[in-house]
Amino acid sequence: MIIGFDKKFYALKSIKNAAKAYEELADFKVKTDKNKITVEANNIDKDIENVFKDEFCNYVLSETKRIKSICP
Amino acid sequence: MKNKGNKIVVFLNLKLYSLEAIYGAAYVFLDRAYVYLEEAAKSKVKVTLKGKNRLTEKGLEILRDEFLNELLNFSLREQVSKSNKKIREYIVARALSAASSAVIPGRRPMGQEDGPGRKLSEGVIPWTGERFKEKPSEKKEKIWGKDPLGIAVPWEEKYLAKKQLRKKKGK
Repeated sequence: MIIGFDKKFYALKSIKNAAKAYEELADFKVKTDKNKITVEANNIDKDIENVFKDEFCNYVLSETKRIKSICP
Repeated sequence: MKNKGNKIVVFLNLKLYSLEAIYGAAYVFLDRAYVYLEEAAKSKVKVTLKGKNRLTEKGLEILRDEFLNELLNFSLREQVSKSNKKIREYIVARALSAASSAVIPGRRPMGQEDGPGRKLSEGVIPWTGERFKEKPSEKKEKIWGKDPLGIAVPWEEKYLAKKQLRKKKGK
């Protein structure tokens, strides 16, 4: 599964934090392009496969908000 | 605004709403919906709200409207926060300066602590506690003030001596 995040709205640190938090549920590879950060998730836990992407995106968003409120 | 597959999409203009306000509103909705942000065009954001539970078209519209209301709420909060910034900083600075200049009894003033490896710089009078000690008479007067009715005199001083005298006389 590949998830793309716009660099304008999501911080790289928040994606890395989210990947660390979800490391027991999947294997992650994070790549950065000019405008996008791409997350490749493999071996996703079967029980949560259908909600994995959405939950991961929400976690990244909450982390981004937290990071930006500490150091805007 | 579009809605399809338990999702509703809202396009926002960054000239009208700040990114902080969008983050704030999105954060409020994280427990009810999955929120995803994308760039739609220059200074335009595409916000996708996907219901965590199955929602009807009406339900999705309500979700969108509530999101837009929350967005306005955060925009106003931001505006108020900006306009009150100076007075807020002033109040905090005053509170901190008042707290740092206050002398707490039984505690050495700031800059005169003698921790490990700390040397007192020249010109600084070493702490002895003498400067802050009051003379006993001053202290008493400060605590009790004037006592014309003799209320502050301990019971033993006031009555026990008289009782003992009476006992001796009785004997």
